[in-house]
Amino acid sequence: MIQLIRRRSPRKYFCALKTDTMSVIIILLLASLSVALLFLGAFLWSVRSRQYDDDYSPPRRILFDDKPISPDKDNVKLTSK
Amino acid sequence: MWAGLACRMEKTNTALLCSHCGEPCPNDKITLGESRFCCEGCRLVYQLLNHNGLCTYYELNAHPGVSRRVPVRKDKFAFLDQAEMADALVSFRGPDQTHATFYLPAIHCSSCLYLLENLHRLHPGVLSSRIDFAAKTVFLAYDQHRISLREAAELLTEIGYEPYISLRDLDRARPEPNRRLIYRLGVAGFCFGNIMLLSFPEYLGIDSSESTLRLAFRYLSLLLALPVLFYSTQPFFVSAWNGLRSKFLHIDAPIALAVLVTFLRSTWEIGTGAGAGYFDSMSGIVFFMLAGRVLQDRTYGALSFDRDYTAYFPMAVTVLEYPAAGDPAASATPVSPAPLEVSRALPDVRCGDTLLIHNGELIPADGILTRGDALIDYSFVTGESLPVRREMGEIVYAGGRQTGAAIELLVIKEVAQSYLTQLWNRRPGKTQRAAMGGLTAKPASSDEMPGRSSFIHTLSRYFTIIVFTVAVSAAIYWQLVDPPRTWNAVTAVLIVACPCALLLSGTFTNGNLLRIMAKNHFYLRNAETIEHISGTTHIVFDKTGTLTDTSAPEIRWRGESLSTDQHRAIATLAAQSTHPLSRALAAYLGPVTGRLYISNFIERPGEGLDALIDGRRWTFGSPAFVQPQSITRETEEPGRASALHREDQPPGAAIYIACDGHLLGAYHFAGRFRTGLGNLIRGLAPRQQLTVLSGDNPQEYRRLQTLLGDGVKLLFDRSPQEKTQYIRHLQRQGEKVMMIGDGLNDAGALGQSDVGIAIAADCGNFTPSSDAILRADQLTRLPAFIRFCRSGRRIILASFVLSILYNIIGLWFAVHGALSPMVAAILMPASSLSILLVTYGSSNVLARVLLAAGRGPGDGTDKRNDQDQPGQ
Repeated sequence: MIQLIRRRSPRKYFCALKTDTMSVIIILLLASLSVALLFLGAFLWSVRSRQYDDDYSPPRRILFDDKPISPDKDNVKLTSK
Repeated sequence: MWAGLACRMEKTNTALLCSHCGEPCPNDKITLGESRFCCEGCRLVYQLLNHNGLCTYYELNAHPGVSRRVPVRKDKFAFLDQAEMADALVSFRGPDQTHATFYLPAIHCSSCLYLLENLHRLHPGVLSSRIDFAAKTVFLAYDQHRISLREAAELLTEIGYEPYISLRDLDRARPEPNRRLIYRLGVAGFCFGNIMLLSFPEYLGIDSSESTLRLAFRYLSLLLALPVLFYSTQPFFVSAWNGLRSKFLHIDAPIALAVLVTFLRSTWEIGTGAGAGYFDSMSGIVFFMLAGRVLQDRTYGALSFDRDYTAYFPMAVTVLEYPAAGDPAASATPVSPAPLEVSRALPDVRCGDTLLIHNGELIPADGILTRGDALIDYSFVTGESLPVRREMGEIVYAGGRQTGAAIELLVIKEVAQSYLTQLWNRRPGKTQRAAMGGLTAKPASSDEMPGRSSFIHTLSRYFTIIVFTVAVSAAIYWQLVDPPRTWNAVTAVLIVACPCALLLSGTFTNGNLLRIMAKNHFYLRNAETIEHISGTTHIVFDKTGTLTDTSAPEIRWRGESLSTDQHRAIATLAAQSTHPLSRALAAYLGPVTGRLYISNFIERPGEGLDALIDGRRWTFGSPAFVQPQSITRETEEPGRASALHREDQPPGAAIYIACDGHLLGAYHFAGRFRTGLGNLIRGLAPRQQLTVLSGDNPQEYRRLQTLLGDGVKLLFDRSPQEKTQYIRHLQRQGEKVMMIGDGLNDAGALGQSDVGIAIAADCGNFTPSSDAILRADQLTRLPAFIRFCRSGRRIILASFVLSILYNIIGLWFAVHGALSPMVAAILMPASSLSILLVTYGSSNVLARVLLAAGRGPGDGTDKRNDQDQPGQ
């Protein structure tokens, strides 16, 4: 990349612009590849940690609320009936 | 408040169903608030959950509970106090917490999920609990100072989720499910996407002045293609190589060759600067093929097709230890030292040990009965529908389940050598590796060699031959016309014409068929089974448990009409007996309101019982016991007596009932045949021959023959070996045999047959090793399933023809030596995607057409059959 920049000369301004965009493209390319690699890693990790094994419980688990425990109240209600 | 809600729900439904488990309440005595229960057990659970504010359990689903009518023995889980056995379940031990995993077959709905993940509210010692719904396991983190593993198991049992702990749990080396194929798929997908992006400039005509950029793109593609070739494509190379080594042209061989040729040519093109190569097409096709394989290799969490006896046997048994004479414990109790009940791991049971077998427990080893009346239910092992009585001193074979009071058994053969284990291990052919190779067999994955009979391989062989002919002719042509282009043309032909389309149509169709059938509760071991099913020419049924429903015998009264008082007396007396027929009768007649006074109660094992109720003498039992003079009676009253003994009376077991010496009639017991059997036979008969092969006695011959029609061959009294031999006999005649059975006595036949289908009331239950598991209530849809499997073949052919069209276009470019990467990049995914659409679309449409009729009840009924669970 440094070489590409060095090659830039004031006489061939148009060419210089071109090499500039090229180096930018390559940087972007590497950036996008590493992001993609990150996602690949995330995918492999999620498979390995068994996240796809059970597709039933997670969507239901999130719907359960934690209701406060009031054992005595409930009991009284039952026996009084 | 939650209880109130639950109560209101109850009233709108029906007042007579148990609030906990939904079974009909025998009376209205057991109540809590406004809720009614079928038994004390259910009420206790309800009370416990209500007390702890967990009544959301009852709101999420109607009647989510599991019936607690059959109580669990108090010290059933005592063996978990022993460290070596607890170790089998414990995965981690820390200073203040321990992790353990239990298998709970009763898990079936979101209520279970809610309750079991709130265990910490029932017991402070439980730190957290997490369910794996697919595997039906609960992972517990608990404080071992506050709750022991045994107490945790008892807590689960108390709320209706009894852990099922089998001998298999002792074997720690359980392989993880094979996820390598998914990793390969992920890597291939990643590389495919990126190579595709990098190839776009090439297709859109990148300026030659930007050669540096172009070169960078090309080398990056090459770099990304490496993991595809060396990692993702590996299974194809392996199976191609295995095939070639055993002189078999596997479909993977031409595919592996095509991938290799594509890679080499592309590398060469890039290296010499001649072109951009075909890395995108190559990785794309690998990605699609792997996706097809992943679809096809699906596994079903809680299901296992390779269970052996270790999953059936309990982990521990109660052994009676008589203290030695010099023992201090013995000298402390001078009068006949009471034996100590000790739990011992099953593999440690030796010859000469005395086992204590409680009601409902499995007999784990062959032995001699030393105490108690054995009444053993061998239905799972032999197919006999009625329990067998054994006297003291007789040999009792392993595998049966004791019903009645506890018995003592002197072990004469160790577990590994018992009859049952031998039966299991004497299995031929395809399933043998599962039985012999260890406790758990590895699931059939694409890394193994799939069956060679598959028509996909036959097709691919012709295909390969044609392709090679085309390649050779192209080579000869260009050699004569324009030699430099030969190499180019030949490689292009090989690239284009790999039978990946065939593989894709095969795997995607099969994968989708498996998925659709699993949705309909028919679970196949692998895709090969689909082909075996469609090729079936002869179907063999087992009777007990397959054609009949063992959980509910059919009881019919033949004789005089009974008055209410007589009815009450019979019900009361039946309830007193421990004989299984009496108990079934008592259950059939229902509970008695008000008590009757019984005196002089005498029960003669194997004959009947005799008692006085309100001054009248009642006798139940065999005809000879009830009426020794019945022969003379028959001559006196020919009309009525012959009505009882005539040939056309329902066969099977019966209880004859007499009052004061006067024969009233008899209750006849018959296995209840599943509904819709006639339709099943009519659906199957035109295309397959049918046989019923039963281990039971031929009592029900006539009834079955009239039910099934004359086209069905009925064979009775067949031992497990004879069943296997019969299947082998049919196969020698060139038949493709499908065996449908449920018990261990069918295990050999299931293994021998081309397709062994195990019937299970609840698919999480124990089933013998088989190729497929079918939920019992779906049995009558078998003709539809078979038609569906057959249609799969047509779908594969149709999509293959479609893909050949693409291939011809590609070949046309290829033989001209003008296959540009652009054309390849368009053709490959286009053909793959259209195959995908065609296979998915047509199989879904077919499923709607073929399987729509007679769709069975939903999952909500699963739990009703949970009592059949082994070990409960």
